[in-house]
Amino acid sequence: MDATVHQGLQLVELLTVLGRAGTAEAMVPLAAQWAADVVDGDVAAVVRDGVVLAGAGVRAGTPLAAALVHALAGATAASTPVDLPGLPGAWLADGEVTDGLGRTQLVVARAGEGGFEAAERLLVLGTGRLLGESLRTARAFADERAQRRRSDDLAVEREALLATLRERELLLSTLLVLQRAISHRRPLEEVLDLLCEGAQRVLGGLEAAVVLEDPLHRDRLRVGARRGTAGHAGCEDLLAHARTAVSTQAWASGADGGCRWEAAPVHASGRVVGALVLLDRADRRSPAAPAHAGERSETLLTTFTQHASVALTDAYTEKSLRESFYDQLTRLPNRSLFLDRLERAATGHARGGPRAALLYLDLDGFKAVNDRYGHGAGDAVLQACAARLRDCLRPGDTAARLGGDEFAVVLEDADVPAAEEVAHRVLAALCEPVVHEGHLLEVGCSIGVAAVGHAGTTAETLLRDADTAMYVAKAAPATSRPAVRTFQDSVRRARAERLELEVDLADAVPGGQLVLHYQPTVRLSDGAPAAVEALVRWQHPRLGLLAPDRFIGIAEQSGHITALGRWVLGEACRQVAAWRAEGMPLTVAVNLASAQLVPGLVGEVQELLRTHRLPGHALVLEITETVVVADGSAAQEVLAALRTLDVRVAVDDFGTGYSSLSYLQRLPVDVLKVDRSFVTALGRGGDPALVRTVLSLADALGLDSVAEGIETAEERDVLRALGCTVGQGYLWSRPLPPAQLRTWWLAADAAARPATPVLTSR
Amino acid sequence: MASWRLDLTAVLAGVRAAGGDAAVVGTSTGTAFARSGTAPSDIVVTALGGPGISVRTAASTDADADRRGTEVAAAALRPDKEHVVLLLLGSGTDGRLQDVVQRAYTALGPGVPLVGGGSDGDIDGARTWQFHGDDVLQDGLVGAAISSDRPLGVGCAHGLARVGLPLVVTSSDGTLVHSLDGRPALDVYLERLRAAGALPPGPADPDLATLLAAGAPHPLGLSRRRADVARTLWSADLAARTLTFVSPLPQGSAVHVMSGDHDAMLAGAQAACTQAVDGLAGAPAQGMVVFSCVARRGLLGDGRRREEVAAARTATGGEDVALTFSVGEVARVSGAAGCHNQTVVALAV
Repeated sequence: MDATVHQGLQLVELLTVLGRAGTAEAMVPLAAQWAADVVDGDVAAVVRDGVVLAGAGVRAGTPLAAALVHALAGATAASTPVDLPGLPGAWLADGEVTDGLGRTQLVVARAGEGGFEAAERLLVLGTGRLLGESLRTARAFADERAQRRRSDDLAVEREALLATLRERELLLSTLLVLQRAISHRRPLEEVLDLLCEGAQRVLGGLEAAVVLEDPLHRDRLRVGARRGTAGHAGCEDLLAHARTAVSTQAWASGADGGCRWEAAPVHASGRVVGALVLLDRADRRSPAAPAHAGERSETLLTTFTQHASVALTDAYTEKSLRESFYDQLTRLPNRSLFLDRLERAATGHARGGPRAALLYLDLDGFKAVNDRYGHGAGDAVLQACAARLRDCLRPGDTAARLGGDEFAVVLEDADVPAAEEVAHRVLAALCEPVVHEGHLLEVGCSIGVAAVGHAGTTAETLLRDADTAMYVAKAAPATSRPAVRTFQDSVRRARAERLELEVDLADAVPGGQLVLHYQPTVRLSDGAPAAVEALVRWQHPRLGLLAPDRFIGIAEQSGHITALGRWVLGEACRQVAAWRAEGMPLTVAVNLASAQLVPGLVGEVQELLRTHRLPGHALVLEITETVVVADGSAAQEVLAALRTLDVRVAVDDFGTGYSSLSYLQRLPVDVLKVDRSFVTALGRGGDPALVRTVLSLADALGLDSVAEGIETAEERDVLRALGCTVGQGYLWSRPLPPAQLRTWWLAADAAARPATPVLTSR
Repeated sequence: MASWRLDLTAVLAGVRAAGGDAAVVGTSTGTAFARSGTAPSDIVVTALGGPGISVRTAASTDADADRRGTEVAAAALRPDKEHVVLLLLGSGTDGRLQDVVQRAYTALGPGVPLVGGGSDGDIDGARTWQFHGDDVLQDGLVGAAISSDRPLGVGCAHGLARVGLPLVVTSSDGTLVHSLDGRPALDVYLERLRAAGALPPGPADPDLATLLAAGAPHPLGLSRRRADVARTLWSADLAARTLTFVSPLPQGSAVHVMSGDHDAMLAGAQAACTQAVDGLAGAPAQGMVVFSCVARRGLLGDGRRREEVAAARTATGGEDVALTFSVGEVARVSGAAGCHNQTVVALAV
């Protein structure tokens, strides 16, 4: 092979070798070594701007490198040998390396005889040129690669950003829906549902559930909302997973068989009340969140739980809000809320708004139902009444439970007639029996009506007026009960008077203002006097003589009744003792108030009998049927003790209360007094069956019976026919002062001899 | 120099015990001769020292050959005497001796001659050993920078001659040659061997053993202006038509097929030793360490290899000679290479 061709081939191979080197950094030392090998040089180097980049047998920073660079720069490098450190008499051959960066040269140094031949110089030149081209190409490739890598990186970055944005959009839109629902106060269930749906969509997974504490049993958890189904075994233990998050009050996760779960606590008003639980199959990657690293999903889950907490806090607060303004049992507004509404109605009218009226309701006999059937029955009655009350009202009206068995209604835009109409409707509705566990529960109702009318009406005055009217309704005689009463000025006056009387009552006893009148009871057969009933009157210094209905109620409510009753008892004993001393063998019946039926009464009576030297049977103590029923066993004991003194007990107004037969049997009573309303009914041609029943009852129980309020002979005759033996009423006499009674007695007694006491102990 | 079949740790311990403070470097070997050289020894210890001589040693087992060379070369930087030579003992079987030498050369420059060889050892297992101080290294690199007031001489020669026209290595990867002159390397080589009469003519491929036997006296030589650098055939891939040599043949190199008979080879040995003594600048030789190629050992046979020792003794004027057969020889006196095959290199002190 021709040497030139040969060398050409070698250069071609150099190109390949350099190409294989790839980077500029690798090419330079390779080229230097190659150049040294191919011309048998001792030292070779690539020098750029006076600095040795790489070499064979020489490295940068050495004296040899400096000398080489220096020699290269010299003009005579090619034609004369130079002395280099370690290489004396070295010839140099060099070539330009046109790589576009500064002045780069390839230089080869060889010691020995003769210099480089032309062919060798050409070889070095060629090597330099090829190196330059290769470096350029390498740099171009490197730049392009860097560029491509940059755009690849950019594309990857963009793609990642897009994915992130899509994810965020999904998250944001989900959260927006949630936030809207929360701020619009959508029902809690709806919000929790949305939460589960959203969490499942954004975080992926098979199922999302909100587990909350049971409000009644806070240590128990129950599922509040749930979306999707994890279904298969291993993912059923939702509550246990929730409990882990709840007890540690932190994000928790785990694997449970084929199921992967994570849970985060939710709060309400700063307290952990449950957890948001996500379930997934262990082998699934959440599709909606491709970068589902544990840390990231924890953050997302926390976002959802925070929203849940806001909703729960809101709901719980709203609930407590409702709880503080609503009656739990009947779901009606409570007193506080009601007063607020009432205030608004009152002031609204004062500012020229529509009229408003107030109904004040009190249930009658509610306590009895409670006592008899239990509080469950009582609650049922209240709830039924509340519901019926609501049904009677218009949407703008407000019904409320003020407490106990008291209700109130604000009727907006109503005058008195309208209010009364509503009141009657309500009355009718409430008086229907309530069915509860097979029992028919009956309550009555008293309604007071007051309307916003005159200037100066406030919620307070309205309430007071209606309350007063209600009490009037309550005080109505049994025949006109249940009742609606409207507050009127006369009522105001009555109330004022009432208050006055209450104050004055304090003086009644010590001031000697009380007097006793006596009404006789007679034998129906011949009108012979049997006994007397003591009835108290109040000689009011200003108002004159007041009958008991004017002040007994007040006395009972103000507590004066005890002193009053004691006086009555004492006075009656004294009077009857006096009469007996005169030879009038009569007994006296004294009415007892429930407040007097205390154990101390026994001692009191005993003392009175002793003081006035009365036999026990000279005294009959009358108690009303309701007192008997109401006071139960305590009353029993007192009555039983009294009977040991030989004192007798009569049940007044019998038939108007709610005593049961068994009760009556147990009670230590001796006399049943038939209420006057039954007697009056007889006279008007009414059904005698009721009276007959009462009399038979008395007979069956071995009790005496006395009919009250007999006013006509007709009534007397019917009663007599029914087997009643003793009666009392205007037919014979109204209640009389002692002196007059004495006169009447003596006359009546004379008219019907023999004058023997009818009432004997049996 | 110690036979690789011995317990090298024990050997080294014994040498250390006898040597006291002296720095110790060494190599495993298959065959070594000393002194009279009539028969090979299992262990040859050469002591070098005295006034005017100082030694610094270094060793490296770095996996990267370039780093190994640079690290060990550092021992020869800033010598404390005027003349310095770096003796290198490296692995003969990792094929990286060339890289090691080039690194060391670039680190030190042409002012520090390099001499040495690749250790012979468990060739089949590709394991060789070097000694440094108390340590036995496996496949490492050990260097001793010998500084002296007086010149030290290094010689290098093989005695082979070019045969035929040059070839260009058109495709190679280190020691693996794919193609020569654009044609499959094996095909071209076989042609040349047939042309040289080393193989019978005919198209059929010889088996590997035959090929290696035929190729042994016909290494390729990297064409250099001053002296061709021999490359010994190590193995061939008959299917891929490639050749593998002991040391690299860079792509683009111009090569010749080399040849030489025993006499030529021995003449080369003589030349190398003489060259080394000449490097003493007239001072009498005190001793010589010689590295000869295992390929030469194979070619010369038991009978004539001792003649290499004799040649060395002649050159030194009968002084102490230690000779070991190495896998790859190191000698950089001129040129930018320094790694030889099938060559004798000598260090004269």
